[in-house]
Amino acid sequence: MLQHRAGQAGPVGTRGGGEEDGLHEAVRRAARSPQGRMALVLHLSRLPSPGPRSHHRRVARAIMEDTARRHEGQLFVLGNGDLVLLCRAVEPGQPLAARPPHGPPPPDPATLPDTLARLLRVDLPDPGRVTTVWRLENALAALAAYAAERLAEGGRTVIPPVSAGPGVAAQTGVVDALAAIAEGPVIGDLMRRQTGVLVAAGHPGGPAKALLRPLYREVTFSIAALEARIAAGGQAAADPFLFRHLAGRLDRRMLARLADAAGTGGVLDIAPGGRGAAPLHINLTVPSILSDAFARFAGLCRSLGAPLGVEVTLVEACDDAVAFGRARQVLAEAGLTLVLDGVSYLALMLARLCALRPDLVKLDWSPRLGELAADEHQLVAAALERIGVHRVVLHRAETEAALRWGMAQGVRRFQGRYMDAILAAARMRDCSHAAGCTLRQCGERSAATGPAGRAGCGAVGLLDDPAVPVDFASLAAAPVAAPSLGRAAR
Amino acid sequence: MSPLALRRPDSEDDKLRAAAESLCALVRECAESGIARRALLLRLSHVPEELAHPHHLRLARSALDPLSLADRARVFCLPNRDVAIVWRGEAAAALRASLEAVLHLFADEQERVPDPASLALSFRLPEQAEALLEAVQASLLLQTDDALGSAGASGRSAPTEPLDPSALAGLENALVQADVARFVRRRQICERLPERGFRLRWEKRALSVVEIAAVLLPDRAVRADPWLFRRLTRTLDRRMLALLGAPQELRNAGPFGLNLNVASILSPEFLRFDAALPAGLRGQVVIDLMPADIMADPAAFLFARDFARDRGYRLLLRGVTAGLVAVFPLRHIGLDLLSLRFSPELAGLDVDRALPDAASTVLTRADSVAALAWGQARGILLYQGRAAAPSAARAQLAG
Repeated sequence: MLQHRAGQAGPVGTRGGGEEDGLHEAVRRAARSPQGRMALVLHLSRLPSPGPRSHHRRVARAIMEDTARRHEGQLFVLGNGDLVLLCRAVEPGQPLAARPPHGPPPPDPATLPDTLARLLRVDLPDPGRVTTVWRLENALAALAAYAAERLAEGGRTVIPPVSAGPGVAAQTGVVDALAAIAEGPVIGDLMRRQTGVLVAAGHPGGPAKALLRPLYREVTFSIAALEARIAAGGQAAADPFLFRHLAGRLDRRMLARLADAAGTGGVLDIAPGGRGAAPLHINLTVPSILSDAFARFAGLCRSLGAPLGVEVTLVEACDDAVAFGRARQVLAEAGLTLVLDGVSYLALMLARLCALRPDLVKLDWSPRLGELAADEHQLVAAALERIGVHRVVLHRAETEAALRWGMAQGVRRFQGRYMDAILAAARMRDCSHAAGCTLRQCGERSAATGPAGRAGCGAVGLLDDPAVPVDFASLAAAPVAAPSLGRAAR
Repeated sequence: MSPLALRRPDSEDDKLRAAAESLCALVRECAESGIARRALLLRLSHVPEELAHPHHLRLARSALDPLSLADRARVFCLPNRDVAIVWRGEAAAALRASLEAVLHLFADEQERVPDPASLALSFRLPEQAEALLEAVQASLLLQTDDALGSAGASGRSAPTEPLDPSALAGLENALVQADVARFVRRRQICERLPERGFRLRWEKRALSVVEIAAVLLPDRAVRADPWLFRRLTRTLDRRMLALLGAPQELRNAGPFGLNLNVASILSPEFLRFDAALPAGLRGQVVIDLMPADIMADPAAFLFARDFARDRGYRLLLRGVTAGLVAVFPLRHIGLDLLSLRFSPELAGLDVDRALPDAASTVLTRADSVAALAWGQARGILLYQGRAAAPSAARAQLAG
C-alpha cells in the first residue's frame, strides 16, 4: 500500500509517481460500503505555473491530515500534486462543530473546502476550482473516474517532491561563486541593458499613432548569465536574503565599471548624449547608495551632467526606512532619479508605496492583474492613482496583454520583452543587413553591453534604440496581433 | 580572585595610558594648528558588565572598521576600554556605517543598552577639542581593574570581520546541534492602566543573536551584513520553534510573543509547534513579522497570514519606524497589531492620522517619560521598555 494514512510520518510529496495505486485500491474498497463516506480533492495541480510551492503542499497536507484523523480518513498524495482525502462525511443537516473563540476551525470535512479556498485565493481565485467534493453514495463513479485518470497518467510526476533544497552550504557557496565571477576581470558578457519606453500620445484628433520613445536604459548584471557560468540555473535568487547580499557585492563592481566607462562614448557611458541618448538606470542597494564609493560616483555624474536613475528594491526600502530616507536624500541632492523596483501587484495592494516618495515605481506585470476581482482591481487602481500613473512603469511587460492592461489604466511607461520586440522590429525594418538576422538576435545584440555580444550585427549603430512610431489604433478597443510600426524617428 | 590578579602587566597598562596621552597630544595639536579633523569615541566603558565579554568588545570595536580606511585614520585604545579614532576629511559614509554598526550591535539588548546611540560620540576638531579632551581625561580617571580585566587581551590585534556566506553556513550548521535554550531572552509587553500603572499582557521570547554568535562565531560581526543576518534569523526561528514545541515546554506558559519570518510560519517546525501548543494558549500567542520580510514574498505572506490567523495566532507588524508608519496601515496589510519604535524623530512627526487604532499599537523603546507621554497623548495602551515595566509584585498576566 502506498497511501499515507493519517498521522503517518514521511516526506510531503511523492514516491515515484505518487499514491495513485493506493487511491485506486481505496476507491475499489469504498465501493463496497459507500454510505456516509466522502472524498475531497484539493487540486493543487491547477495552481498556475510554477505550480504549487512547497508550503502549499505542506500546510494543506497538515490541515487535511488533521481532518482525516478525526473522521476515519485516509490522505493520498498524488504525483500531479493533488491531495485526496477519503473520510466519513458529515450528515446533511448535522450541525457543524462550533469554532472556539480563539482556536482554529474544527477539522470538519464540511468546512474544509472553504478553509482551503481561503488559503489559496491568491494563487487560485476561483474557489470552485480549488476543491471537488464527492459523496460516495451518489458520486462514486466520478471519484473512480478521477482515480482512474490519475492512474492512467502512469505516475507521470508533474510536481517534483518537496525536498529541503540545497543545503545552506551549497546556497551560500553559489552566492560566493557568483560574486567572485562578477568581481573578476572579464564581465562584459555578464551585463545586459534593457530599454524602458514612454508611449507618447499621438496627435490630438489625428490617428491613434503614438511614439514609442526610449525613456531610459537599465543596465544590470545578468543573473542568468552568471548562473550559467557555474551551471547553477535558478539558484541565485532561491533565497531572497542571500540574493540581496549578492546584490550588494555586485553594486561595487557596477559602480567601478560605469566610472571606467564614463566619457568613453560606449554603451555604458553615463554621460548625456551617449549611445541611445536615454539616461542609464542601475540597481543599487541602500548601503551602496550611502557608501563613499557612490558619493564619488555621484560626483562624477554631477560633473558630467549625467541624468542617472537608481533603482532600489521595495524590500530594501522597507528593511531600514531610516537608511532608505537618507539614500533618497543623497539621490535628490545629486539630482538623480529614485526608482522603486520589484513591486508586485500584491505589494501594491498591501502597502501605501506613495509614502516612500519615489520618482518612479516599477510595477511587475502579472497575468493575474487582468483577472482581478472588482474589489481587488479597485485597490490596485486606487494605489496607482495615489502614486500617479505618470510615475508608474509597467515592468516585465512580456506580452501584448500587459501593454493593453497598462494602457487601460493610463500607464504610459513600459519595460519588458514585448517592448524589446517592438523596438527590434523597428530596427530591422530600417536595417539593410536585416535579411540575415532574426528578431531574437537583434534583441539580444541590443541588450549586450560588450562587443562580443554585438558580434554578427552589420549595423551596430542601429542597436541603440531610436524613437519608434507605433500604431495603437486597434489596441485601445480590440485584440491585435502586434502594433504596426511607422517609420523610425531619428 | 584578587583584583590584582586581573591587572595587566605594567607594560600593557603603560601602552593604554600612552595611547590616551598620544590622543590628548593630537587633539591639542589640532586646537593649536587649527587643522580640521574628525573623531569618534566609542564608549565601551558604558557597556554593561554582563555584556562586556571580550568577544562582545571585539565585536563592538569592529564597528570602527569602516573608518579605519579614512584619510590618516589613527586608532587609540584607552585605559577604560573606550576606543577613539581620529581622521582627516569628511568620510561621511564611513562614519554613518560605523554609527549604524554600533546601533545594530546592541539593537536586541534594549533592556541593558536602552540607548546604543549614546555609546558613540562624534567630534569636530578643533571646535570640540575641549570636549574630547575631557572625555579622554575621564577615561584615565575611570580606569578600573575590572575594566582592564574584561578588556583583557581581547584581541585588538585580531579585528572582527563581517559575517560572510561561508561563515554563515558554518554558523547555521553549528546551530543545528547547539543548545540555544540559555540564549532565550524575554521582554514584557505591558498595558497601561488608568491610574494603576502597568499590567503585563504578554512576554516576548527571543533568542539573543549577539550572544549566540559571540559563543559560536566570536570573530565575526553577525549584524555587519543585514541580509546575511536576516537569513540567519530564519534558522534561529526554527530553533526557537523546535525549543517551544518540545513536550512540557509550554505547560505553564502564559501569553507570549515570537519574532518569526514568513517562511518560518510555513515550516515543518511551526506545524509541530502548532500541534504542541496547549489549547489554553490559543489566541494568546503573538507572532511578530518584519515589513521587509513581508514584501520579499507577498504571496507567501498572505498564505501564512491567513493560515496563522485560522490557527488562532495574533499577528503583529514589528520594527515600524516613523518612516514606515504611513506605508503600512494595518487595515491594508491585514494584521492585528503594530509595534512602533519610539524615537525623538517620531515625536517630531505628525503621525496622528497614519496611526491605526491606538489599541492595536505597541510603543517599543518606551524607556523614558517622554515616550510614555507621547504614546498616551495618542491613546496608545501597550508599551515595551524600561519606563513601562510593571513592578514585580504586581505583575499579573492579563490572561
